Formats: sequence, C-alpha cells, structure tokens
Amino acid sequence: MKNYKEIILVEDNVDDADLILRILKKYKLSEKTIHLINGEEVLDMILKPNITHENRYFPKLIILDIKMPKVDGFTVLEKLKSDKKTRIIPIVMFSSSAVEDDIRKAYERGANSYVVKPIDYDDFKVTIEQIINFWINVNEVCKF
Amino acid sequence: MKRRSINILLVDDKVSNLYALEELLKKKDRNFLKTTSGKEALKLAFNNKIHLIILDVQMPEMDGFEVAQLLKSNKRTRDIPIIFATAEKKEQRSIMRGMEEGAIDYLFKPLDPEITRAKVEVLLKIQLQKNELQEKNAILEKYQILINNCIDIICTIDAETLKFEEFNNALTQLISYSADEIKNTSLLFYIGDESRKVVEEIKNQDGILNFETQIYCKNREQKWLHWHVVVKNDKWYANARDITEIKQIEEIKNYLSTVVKQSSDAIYLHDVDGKIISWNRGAEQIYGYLEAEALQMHIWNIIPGHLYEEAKKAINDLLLGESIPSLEAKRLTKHGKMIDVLFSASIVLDSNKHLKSIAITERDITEQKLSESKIKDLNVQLQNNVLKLQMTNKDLESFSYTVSHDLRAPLRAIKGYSKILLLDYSHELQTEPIKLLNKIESNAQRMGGLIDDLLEFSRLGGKTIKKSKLDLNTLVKSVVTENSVSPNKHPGFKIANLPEISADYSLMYQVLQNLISNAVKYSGKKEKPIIEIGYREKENDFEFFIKDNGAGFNQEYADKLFQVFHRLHSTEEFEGTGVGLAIVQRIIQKHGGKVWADGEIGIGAKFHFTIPKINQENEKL
Repeated sequence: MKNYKEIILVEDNVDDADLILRILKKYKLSEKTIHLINGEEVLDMILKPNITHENRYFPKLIILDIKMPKVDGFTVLEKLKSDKKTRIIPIVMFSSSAVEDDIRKAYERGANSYVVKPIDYDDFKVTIEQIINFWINVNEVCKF
Repeated sequence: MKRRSINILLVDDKVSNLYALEELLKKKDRNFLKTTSGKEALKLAFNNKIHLIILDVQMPEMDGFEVAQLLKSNKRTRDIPIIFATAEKKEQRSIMRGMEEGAIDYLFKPLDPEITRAKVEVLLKIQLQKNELQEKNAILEKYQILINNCIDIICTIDAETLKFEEFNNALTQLISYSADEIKNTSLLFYIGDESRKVVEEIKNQDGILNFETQIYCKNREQKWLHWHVVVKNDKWYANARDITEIKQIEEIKNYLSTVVKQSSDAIYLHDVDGKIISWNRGAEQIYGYLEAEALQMHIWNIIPGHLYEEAKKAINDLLLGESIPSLEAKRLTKHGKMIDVLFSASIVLDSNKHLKSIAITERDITEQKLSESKIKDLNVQLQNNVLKLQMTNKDLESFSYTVSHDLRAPLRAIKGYSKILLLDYSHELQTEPIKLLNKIESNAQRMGGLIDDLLEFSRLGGKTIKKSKLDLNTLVKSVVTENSVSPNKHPGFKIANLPEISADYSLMYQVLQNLISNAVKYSGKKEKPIIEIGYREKENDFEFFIKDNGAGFNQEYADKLFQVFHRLHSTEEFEGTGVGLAIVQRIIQKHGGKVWADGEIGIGAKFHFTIPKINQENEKL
C-alpha cells in the first residue's frame, strides 16, 4: 500500500476548503493534502480499475463534504465503505447540515466521524488526530 | 190479524146434504170444499189447508170413522178438527168410536141449524186460536234465539232501582259476571262515579234515552257502553253496545288529527285525479293557500309544470304498491315561489281495501338546500385556499431553507477567516486591528444566530406537531438544569408540581427553553434572581406561567414582544435576536393555545401560555 501519508479533502466550496486546509497545515496533520472538488474525482482516484492491490492509492484520511455536484458525499461514502478493499480508509463526513437524519445516514453507511460546519478548530483538530493515529496503528498491525 | 179464508171440508155421500150444509154455514170468509167420497176427502185434506172437516159417518166404501182414522194418523192432517155428522142418534158405541179417533164433536142428523152453526163457530174459533198460538210460539222462539245471540246487550232494568231483571248472554259475556251474580243487582254497581252521575240524572226521564257509560268487568277491566233505552211502564227496555274500541279509535283519531293540524309540515290528501281533499295548517303556511282555497285545487296547481311527468309516475308507483318514504322535489307556492321539499307519500285505503286517497307529507327544505349549496361552495373555496396556502408554504419553506443555507456559506468563510487571523496572526497585528477583527467575528456570529433563528421560525410553519403525553415536570427540570449553568448569579427556581399535557415534545422543549432562558437572562442583573414556574387549571385548558423578578418591560408594548426581531431592550443590555418569543408564540398557537405577557419595568415579567386539555373524543390539532 502506498501513499497513506496523504489526506484527501473533497469539498466544492472554496472558502470552506481553504479553512480546512489551513487547519491541517497549521497542526501538521498531514504532509500533503489533496483537494478534490467532487465525488467523481475521489472515486476515480481510489477505485481505479485494473490495478493491483499493491499499486492501489490509499489516503490516510478522507474528509468528505456531503453536498457536492455530480456525485455527492453519501454515494462516495457508500461506495468506498462497501468495497472490501477500500473500506478501511477512514472517512470523516463534513457538512453544514446538523440534521439528525443526515448524521444517522452517515454513520449507517460507515462514516468514521461527522463534523458540522462551521467547525470548531480545536474539536476538529482532535478528531482528525485521533482518527489518523488509530488507523495508522491498525495498518501497521495488520498488514493486509 | 189478517183475515184469511177458512177452508171447510164437507164430506157426505149425498150431494144434497153437501149443498144444504154449505148453505147453512155460508159466511164471507169461508170456503167450502165438498166431496162425496172418503178417498176424495183424504186427497183434499192432504192438498189443501183445511180448518174444519164435517164428516158424514155413514158412507159406502169408506165410512167417516175410517177417514178420520186416516186423517189423524197423518201428521199433516192430524190437527184438523172433525165434526162427525151421523144419523145414528146418540149411539153410545158410535160416539166412543168417534172420540177414540180424536173427533171433536158430533152432529146428529137431521142437523139442527142453530146447533150446527154454533158448533162450527166454536170449533173454528178454537182451531184458529190454536193456530195463532202456534204461530206466536214460533215467533217467540225466533226472538229468543236472536236476543240471546245478539252481540249487543239486550236487557230489562227496573227504572227505579236500576236492577237488572232480564238480560241476554251478551251482558254476562261482556262483564264476565255470571247470570246469577248479575240478576237483581243494580247497574250502578258496575259503573264508575262519572257514569253514575250521568245515569242518576237521566234516570227520571221518560221516553227514549241515549247515553254512554263506562262499565267495570269482573277483572276490573274498563269498557265503554252506548245505551239506547226505551222507558215504559217503569221499566227500561235497554240495548247497550260495546263502544270501547270505538272510543279508543276516537282518541287516536283526535290525537292524530291534532298532530296533523299543528304539524309545521304540509300534510294533505288528494284523490287519484289529484284533487285535494284535505289540507293542514302546515300546508297553509308552506304554500300560502288557505284550506278553503286548497280544497278547490288540484295538486297540479302546486307542482311545477316540468315536474308533472315525475309526479304522475310517482302516483303510478304508489298505486302499484310501491312506497315513497322520502323524495326531494320542487313545488310552487301561491306567490309563485319555487321551493324545495322533502316529501313522502302513501296510499290510504278504505275499509274495503279499495283506494281512497293519497296522503302526502312535505317538509320545506329550501333553506336547508341553500345552506347545503353554500356550504359546498365554501368548502370548495376552503379547499382552494388550503391548496394555495400549502403551495405558498412550500415555497416559503424552500425559500427560507435555500436562503439560510446559501447565506450561511459566506458567513462561514467570514467567521473562519477572521478566526484564523486572530489565532495565527495576532502577533503581527496591533490592538486596533485586533479589536476590529473581533467585531467582525462577533457580528458574523450574531448573523449566524439570526439566520438560525429565522430558519427555525420559518420551518415552524410547515411543521406538523406530534402530540404525546408529556410529563412537564421532567421537561422543565431538564431545561432548568441546562439554564442553571449561568455565568451570572445562580437563579433560584420555585417550580410547582406541573400536570401532564398533550403536546409535541421537542416543540415544548423549545418553548420552555426560550421562556426559561429569557427569565434567567433578564433577571441576571438582580441580586437575588428568583424564577417561579406554575399553572392554573381551567375548564378546557391549563394556563402556565413563568415569572421572574428581572428587568421587566413596559406593559404598553407587551404585544410587540412576540413580533419577529422586535425587542424592548438593546443588545447591549441583554443579548438576543428577538425571534425567540415569536417562535414561542407560533408553537403555542399550533397547539391551540395562547401566549401573553405582563411586565413592569424594574420589577419583573410574567409570561403566560395555555395548552388545551386532552379531549378524549377528538384530538385538537
């Protein structure tokens, strides 16, 4: 598995994305962050057909906005979490919606966490850190 | 007594004797049959009504005795008196023989005219009397049967004592007393007080009496009798008829007649051709035709022309045995107004089960129909309005949602970037720029709050409340706990034991949250803030209040409190967006209740709201 040092941020709103990137940078939560602006792009990136497991692209974390054009966050979440090979990737849902239904939907589809915009920086930092650390350990322990 | 001709049969072998006898006995009403032969005499006796036979004894072929014997042996001729005319003078043996045969008398030849005539007279008289008696007996017997079988009471009563003397079976059958029990008892014994008065009064009158009395049977059952009495020789020759049923029918008739008369429905009769034969007051009122007028009219006068066929068909159906219990139709009043009626019709048969007339009952439902159509129109209007409202609401909803959602995005950016500047670049900035940035951030914060509140407020419009049984005590407790963590002084709470209500949990939470947080907020500056929560039970609802001893407000502007964004205090004094109370009002109104507030500046405020009680039958929405 390569590239699990990177965080993918999928967010179509420029300003929202910018703020996240700043936090990530400030707290050095990742070496590199890839910013994509819709679901299709991230699915293309990860679910590339005809590649071997070794060559598959695995990010450290995906921060996924729900409302996006083309392919929305839930679809991405579902696709990634239902595929055996990709479900290990931690996904943090990120949305302006605090509606109970949406939160439940996200967790039902396998989201690892759910953050509501506008984000509280400290909480966000802690959430990201905690998820990343956990998954790094998991990956190291079970090399699959 | 009618004068019938008397037939006398003369039998003698000598013709001259016959004529002589006839001459002797000739009288206006007497008819003589003569014969010389005994055989012939028998024939004549059998074939004619003979009242007397004068029979010669000495005759060739058959002698008188033989003839007599034969006559006496036959039922038909047995009773005919016979006078033997014999030449044998007082011959003992002959007389005896004659008597044996049932002779009545003898005449001796040569006949003495006087004696002969006298004897004939006497015998005829006796015979006629005997006949009369028989006839009278037959008549008596006839009357006996008739009287005893008469359904009506036939009796004789002593005019003075009013005791029953003779009476037929009808009396015993009617009152169930036996003949022995009734005999010689007074009529007064069997009748009630009222009837006694009638009878006492009438007792002393003469001639023919007609009156009615009640009468009590042995089993105390009461019946009514109509008496027809002929008073003669101190006796009442009475005939009484049981009219109990008739009286009952009379009563019913009177009752029905009253009902019909005073009914406000039109009740009238018409014959097969439509001629009106009766008309009640209700019909007069509905149609405007008085009874006198209506009786000259036909139903075709009150049925609109275009409905003639329908009416004719209805009559036909009735005649065929169908019933018309309830049908709507139109009719014409005297003043030319067309009215709607609900009518029912039925056939009235006479006692022979032949068609007598048709009875109609009609109710004027013109008003009702108008109301019905008005209601229909209003309903349609209502539905249209509801649809319009729903569409408008939907538009509003999506509008507010879109607006707030889209407004929030740039707001996030403003807040976010300001925060970053403050967090990461404060060391590069001086005091003033930092202060300005803080202002930007706080304003952005405030705007976010306003958008949230606005969104909340607009969403309330389309929300349907989900009512359930709420324990207000626990709800209030949790809200109070949340609001007790206040930077300012800890307020004291005085909470009554609150009742259970039927309401939407999350919405009521909002209401309480708003009101209680307000109370806390506005009493924050007081030394000893006290917040009181209580209620009053009324007939149809509960009235709750939340009272604080905080800053209060000017009662004059109390109603403005609930308007959106309208505040009676500046943001510097007390922060807030001004939507909270508007939201409270909306929610309470949705529950069918009311909100209002009392306040006094510097003293405090008291907010009231009502929640309707649960109605078991129909839930108030």
